[in-house]
Amino acid sequence: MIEYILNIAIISVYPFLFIGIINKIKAFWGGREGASVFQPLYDFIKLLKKGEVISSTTSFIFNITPSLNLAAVLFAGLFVPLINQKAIISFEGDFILFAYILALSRFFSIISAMDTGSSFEGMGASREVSFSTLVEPAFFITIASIAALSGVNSFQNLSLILQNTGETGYLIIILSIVVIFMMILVEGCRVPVDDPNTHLELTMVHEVMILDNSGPDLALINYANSLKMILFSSLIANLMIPAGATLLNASICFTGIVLFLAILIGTIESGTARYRMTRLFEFIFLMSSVSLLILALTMIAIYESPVGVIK
Amino acid sequence: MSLISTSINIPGVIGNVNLVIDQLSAFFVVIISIISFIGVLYSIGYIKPYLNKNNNVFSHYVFLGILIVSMLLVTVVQNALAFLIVWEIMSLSSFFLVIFENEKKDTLGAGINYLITMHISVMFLIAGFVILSLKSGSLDFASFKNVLGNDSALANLVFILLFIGFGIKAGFVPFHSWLPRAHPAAPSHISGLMSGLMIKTGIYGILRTLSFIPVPSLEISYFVLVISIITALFGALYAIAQNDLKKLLAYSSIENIGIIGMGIAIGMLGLAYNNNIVAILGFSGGILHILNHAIFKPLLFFAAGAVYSKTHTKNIRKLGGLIKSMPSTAALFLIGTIAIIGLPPLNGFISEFLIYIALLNGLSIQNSSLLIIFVITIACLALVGAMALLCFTKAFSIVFLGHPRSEKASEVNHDISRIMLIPMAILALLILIIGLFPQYVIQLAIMPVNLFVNSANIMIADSYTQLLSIISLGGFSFILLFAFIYILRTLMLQNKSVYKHNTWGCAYKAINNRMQYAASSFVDLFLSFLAPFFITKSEIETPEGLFPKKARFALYIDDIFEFYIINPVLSLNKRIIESFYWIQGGNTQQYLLYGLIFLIITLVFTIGAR
Amino acid sequence: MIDTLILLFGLTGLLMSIKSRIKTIINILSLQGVILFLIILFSHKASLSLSYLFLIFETLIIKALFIPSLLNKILLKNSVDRETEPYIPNFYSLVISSFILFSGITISNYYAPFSVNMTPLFFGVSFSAILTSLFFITTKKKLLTHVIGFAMLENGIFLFSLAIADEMPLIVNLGVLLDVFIAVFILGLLIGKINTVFHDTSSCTLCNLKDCGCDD
Repeated sequence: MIEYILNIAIISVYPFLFIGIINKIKAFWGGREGASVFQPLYDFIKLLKKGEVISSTTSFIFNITPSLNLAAVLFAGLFVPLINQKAIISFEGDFILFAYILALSRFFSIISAMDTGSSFEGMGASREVSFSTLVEPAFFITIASIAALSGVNSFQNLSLILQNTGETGYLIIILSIVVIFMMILVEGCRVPVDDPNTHLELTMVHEVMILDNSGPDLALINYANSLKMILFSSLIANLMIPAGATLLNASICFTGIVLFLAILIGTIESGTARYRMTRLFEFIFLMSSVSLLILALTMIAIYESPVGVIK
Repeated sequence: MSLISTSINIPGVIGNVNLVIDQLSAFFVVIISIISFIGVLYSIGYIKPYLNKNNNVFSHYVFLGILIVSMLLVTVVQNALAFLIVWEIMSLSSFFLVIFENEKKDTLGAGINYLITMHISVMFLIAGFVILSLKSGSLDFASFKNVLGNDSALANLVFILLFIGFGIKAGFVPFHSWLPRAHPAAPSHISGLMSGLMIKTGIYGILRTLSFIPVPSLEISYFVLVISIITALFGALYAIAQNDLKKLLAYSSIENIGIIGMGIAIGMLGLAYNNNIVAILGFSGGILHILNHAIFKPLLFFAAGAVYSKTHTKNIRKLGGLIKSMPSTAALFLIGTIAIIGLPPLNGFISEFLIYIALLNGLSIQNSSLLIIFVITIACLALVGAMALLCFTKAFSIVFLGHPRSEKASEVNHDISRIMLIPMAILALLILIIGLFPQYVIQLAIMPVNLFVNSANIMIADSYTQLLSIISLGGFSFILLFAFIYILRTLMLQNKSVYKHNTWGCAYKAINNRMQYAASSFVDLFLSFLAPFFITKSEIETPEGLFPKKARFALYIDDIFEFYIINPVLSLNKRIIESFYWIQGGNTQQYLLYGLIFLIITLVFTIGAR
Repeated sequence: MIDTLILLFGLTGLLMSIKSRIKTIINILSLQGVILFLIILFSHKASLSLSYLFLIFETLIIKALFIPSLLNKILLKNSVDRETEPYIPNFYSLVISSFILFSGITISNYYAPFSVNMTPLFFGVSFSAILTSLFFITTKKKLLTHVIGFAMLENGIFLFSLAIADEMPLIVNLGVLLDVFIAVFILGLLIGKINTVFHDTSSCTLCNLKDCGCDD
């Protein structure tokens, strides 16, 4: 019962706090006081109360996309293990459904951006679709290697790897955390992939795809974006927390890890600029390189240790 | 399971022809019948503008009938010689259908290319069948099964010959070069039927060949896997680069054939490693994708045909904004797009999901090289899906969304007639049904698998049927969740002001329709890193002078396999043959001289031989 | 611990292929020296034997400090700053380097049962480091990056010799001698003032050394 309440609290409150803490850390490094940590929540409520301006070039696709986006991210959240290390629904191959439903939400945001017929949004759509194409194989290689290592083909296996101790197991976990962290940067559109502050040409990826959205639609889109980041952070957290931890320990560790990730993202955003386009492609391909390393290490781990893996 | 069988006796070489409908044939007969019927329904509306012109519509329909009958016969005939005859009838009738608009030079060229390629494929088929019938002594398929049991080298050779022959028809790389020429040249209902049904007869041939071999060896399984992965990646990559709507759909067919091949290869690997789960899941994933592709590819081709019939151009750079004037076509194209990318909750996701599950189960086979290969295959399948997303977002958004880019697009007033919309709507309904009720459809797709996997697959089917019912439940709950959030948001907007305005243009006053993102620019960022895989030719006229008036830029992309492999072979062939041109002098006396020389030589030989 | 360090070494090889500022590449080179030092520290028992002290001195002082400082001096004297026109764009060289790293580890895993003492990770990463540095030398244009690539190659050979150190300690010392050769080479570059002969330190002008009239 308590786990239920905790999970609902995570899905509803953590996304706003995450963005709030990132902005607070950026303000700290910039020597400012910054907005309150709850500012994204206040923005959300303010936007919900407003009306909308809809572009006359758009069609029904523009209308339905923000709701579909949020529905997809919430639905994907059903498969991610949250604070109690168990997902709400889990079955064999659930991470495939997870990745593909996020692809559905990406598909609709891209065509909704092209729907407005604006050159800004077209540029954002083109860049967003190119980046996400390179991210998919890296994610699948990582999760498939972890599935091969732990013998379980779903997100449940994340906390099981730590039982297979041995230096290679730890190495695989660390590299997987690096890959998923870089995924947060790409999917959540943070620096060095995209600058969420401005919508000038330099930083046009995601922020510019939602230029023509306003009112409750914009609120839904922002919430869905931060919820996506929380889902990936909870993947990282579940990689680090061993299975069988008590609920209190698990919640404290989970919150601590999410807090640490927010601080890390804020620091990276303050310390780096967005990479040049060609360097950005190398950065995104680096994810695939690291995931290939994870695959090689998995092969060593399975076929070298005399004990074998947990089945 | 009772088979329907009958047999005809044709005196002469052919002998006894058995016509048997077993599980594999039944599957294909069902698909061919339903989709052909829908295609013919669509063609009634499509062919209307051509009735008044000179094209021979009557013969077109005769050939269409012959094509459908021959496709059905191909899946049923069990005699090697009769099979080749029916196969040849299928190729010839489709050739006549492709050159329907033969007043255009390109169409005729594409048709001849298609005909010649089909005959090269028949050559390989003849070679394979000859070896088989010599070994087994009869022409009947049932006898081939006993021959290949023990001899694995012979099985490999026969399989590769027949695979190449059927692969040319199916469109595997590097035998695919006829596909992107023939499909855009043919009228849209023919493209839809060819892409949806005819290339699947190639896959039927491969599956039938596989049924002759009890346990496929590792070499041919890896061979099929590697070719399928290359096919899928190549098709997706080239589809992204196309600006002709039907050529884009043709390359996308190549990509989907690659995915089907991947499923079949994984099934073969499961059989080779004696793992029944992997085999069953792999085969059912590939076979289900045959069904899925046969539904959504004709839908996309019919929608492209609808766009062509209204705007008279296939060049997507001149289209745009058609969602306002053709809303039903756009909505149906959208459903087809979501299905072909493989997104839930539609049917494309189900077959790709089954292939993924087969791969994941294969990871537990204790073989280190298989682990690496399967994980790389998972990554390639994900990459193919992501590239398909890129390709179809470009296709859908440039054709239907935004502002019209030329007068051709802005002059469209109303949508196509209902006789053309109803078949597309039926296909869309089928897509929804298969996507939302996969646990019932899998019973249909798992039946042909009985031919390959001997053990009772009932027990395995249960646990995976449960998995699919979870997916179906997921699909319904997603739709409900989406409806719920949408209703909430609309309620929130009830009393607020919602008004329309122009798209925000950063306060720039003179926005025109050319200032949107164009087709090539949309994909340029992604393709710039894959430049070595294309041959690009560009024609450029730079603006000159102080007040430049004329400037032109055009980019053409050639197929890399055609450029590097086929064209050199063809030019070498041409050079060799050209060296014999002197024989044909054109002079009658020269020909009489040849006859005289021949007579003298014959006389000398016959006299000398005595 | 050693596995982590070896993996870090492999990752530096990947990083080298995407950076284009020469200063950064030299820093990565000294990082490789520090990693080698840590590997020796963790793999051998600390003792005061001459060979152990020599190894420590060699990696920490020469590889991590001396050679990078020499390279920095050369960097200051010439005005090259970046390697901006490699023969292959950085993206492709990253793809190829990661492919080399992956296949190195994978292939060495096949031969793991045949060698008793060597872990496949050790062998694979060192072998791919050698191949990657050869590839690095082949695709860059500036002379200075060629020298850096050669130093990287020598680091890879050193790691390779560490992998079989238990069996043949002589090999390790031979690796050290290779380092001495590198140092002399760089000193020659510095003192010999090669840059005053070739005005742009690009290897294209070296083509002029080719003999003309090869018909005879």
